[in-house]
Amino acid sequence: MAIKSSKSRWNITGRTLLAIVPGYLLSNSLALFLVFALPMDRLHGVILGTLLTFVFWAAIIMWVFSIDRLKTAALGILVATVLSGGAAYALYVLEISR
Amino acid sequence: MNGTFRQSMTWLHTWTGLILCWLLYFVFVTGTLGYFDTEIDLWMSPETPVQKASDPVANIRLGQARLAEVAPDSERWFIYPNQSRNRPHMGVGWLEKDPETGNNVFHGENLDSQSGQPLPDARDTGGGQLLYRMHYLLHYFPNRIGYWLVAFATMLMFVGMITGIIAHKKIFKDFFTFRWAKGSRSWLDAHNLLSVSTLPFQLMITYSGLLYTLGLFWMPLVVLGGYGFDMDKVRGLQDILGVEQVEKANEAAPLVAIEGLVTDAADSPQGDQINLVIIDFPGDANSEVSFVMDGIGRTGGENFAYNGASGERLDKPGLELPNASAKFALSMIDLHEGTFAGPFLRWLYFLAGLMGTAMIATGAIYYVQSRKRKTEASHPGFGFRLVECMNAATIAGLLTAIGVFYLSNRLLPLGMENRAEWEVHCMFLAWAACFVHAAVRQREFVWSEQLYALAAVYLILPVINAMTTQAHLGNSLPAGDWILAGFDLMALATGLIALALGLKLRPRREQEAQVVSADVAVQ
Repeated sequence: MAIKSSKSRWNITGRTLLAIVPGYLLSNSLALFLVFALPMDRLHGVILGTLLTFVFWAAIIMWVFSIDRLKTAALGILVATVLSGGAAYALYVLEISR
Repeated sequence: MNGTFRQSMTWLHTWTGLILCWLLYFVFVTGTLGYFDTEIDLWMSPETPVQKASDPVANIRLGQARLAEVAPDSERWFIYPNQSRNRPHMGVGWLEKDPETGNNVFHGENLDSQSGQPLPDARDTGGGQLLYRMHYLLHYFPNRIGYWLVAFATMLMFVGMITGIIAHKKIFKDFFTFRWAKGSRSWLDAHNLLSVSTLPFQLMITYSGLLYTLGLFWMPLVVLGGYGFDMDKVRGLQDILGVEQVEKANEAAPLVAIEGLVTDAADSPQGDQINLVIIDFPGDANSEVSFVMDGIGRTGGENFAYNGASGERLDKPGLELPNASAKFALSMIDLHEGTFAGPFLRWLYFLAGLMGTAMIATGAIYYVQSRKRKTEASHPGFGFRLVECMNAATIAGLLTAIGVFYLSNRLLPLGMENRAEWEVHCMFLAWAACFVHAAVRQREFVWSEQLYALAAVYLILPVINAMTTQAHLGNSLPAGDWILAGFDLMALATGLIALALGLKLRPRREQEAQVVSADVAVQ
């Protein structure tokens, strides 16, 4: 089991921090990606994105605590944040250059 | 979904649930009482006369006269002509410039619908509104910190609920399972039954709570980023979402008699449906009178606008929500508040809130019960003792403290300075005493004695009420005043239930004998 096999205090602290700070950022960058990707007006997009952020965040927290190794979880969060954030930024640049 | 995933979700459920469960219990108790905030207000200000239903159109005239007298230079007036559950008295409000800051500050007063004069000052009390505000602001903290703490706890609650659903293998089968008097098993069954049967309500109240507390405070990145961090555009959103501003003409013109704008024609505002009348720049040529009609929460209701000098109807659309997501968000918030609920639905809200409260309490108790046998053999550690103390002092102690809050409303001298604040001090002092008791008293006696204290406070409450006011059962029952009588009867019921539980949980004879002999052995 994910937690029990590595039940060290530091491991749990690490997962908690990972879920709260980078997990929060990831939930926002996922939502931002949707804001730019979905075909709806901007106001609708940002409200929908805000509504979804909580769902994303909850899912991320759960994911962080279900992955076997803390390193894998950290890497996953990092990659997902870079990808979604990068894609959101690319779409934004595309939009203002148009 | 494999077994290990479920196991890690069970682990996460335990810890997200436990870590702030006492704060969540506080939020649920005060929030649930908030569904009866107006009723508690009425009980806590017994001097305020009960008003009979009155004619809303006549009330508009009274309100306009009162405002012309007290706030002739205000930029905006408000008249609340209808008496309802949420607003038992008709009233007026106005904005007044604070001479120091230059900001507009809202002032309001309730009016006597016979004379149009302000109702006599009741005793200084926080009332049910204060309890209600505690459920998202807490107390003794700056507002911002209170918000953040509650928001964080709400997020844990949200995760706790989703992981709880995943951890719960046999939702349907277990729903029909209840193992009575089987120690920790029974607590788990109770926890499951309460959670599953009210799941939609608990999910709604938690998610909408997140939108309330977190929506604007915690998630600004999505909105900012969506507009390329262009602050001008973000500020511009207020114009889209807000009401159109009225331009002042700076030319005096008397305000029409507003009651004349009300008719019974189908396309005009009807008296009994007017929630609020807003008058912008009264006495100016461009002044504007708008009627906000009764609707279900923020998403309903229609607006009518008139020029205040000529009485001419203005062609202005009511507040239209721009899109489906905004409608969804505001509907969730409306559902959270339940201001539209009539008596039956209000009791249902209250019941669902109580069951959520009990869900948190049974979860916390299950944590202790399921670990009791293991720890009883060895010496209980600090963490276990802490949870045990917090449980008794919060689950029973908070209710005792709120009872003391009500008691202090009747017992503190009426002329006392900062009286309303002292009611709250009494509440938290009583709660602190509960914590001290739970920490120092021999473990076997803690729960039963906490429950006796709880029972004593609520059983004595109607008696003290009868000794200090006229709002007691002897008067309220014959008068059929179910708000005042209901409060006292609920207090009695709470007291009796607590007494029964306390008697049930008192240490049995042989246990007591063991405790005593153990003490002797120690000496």
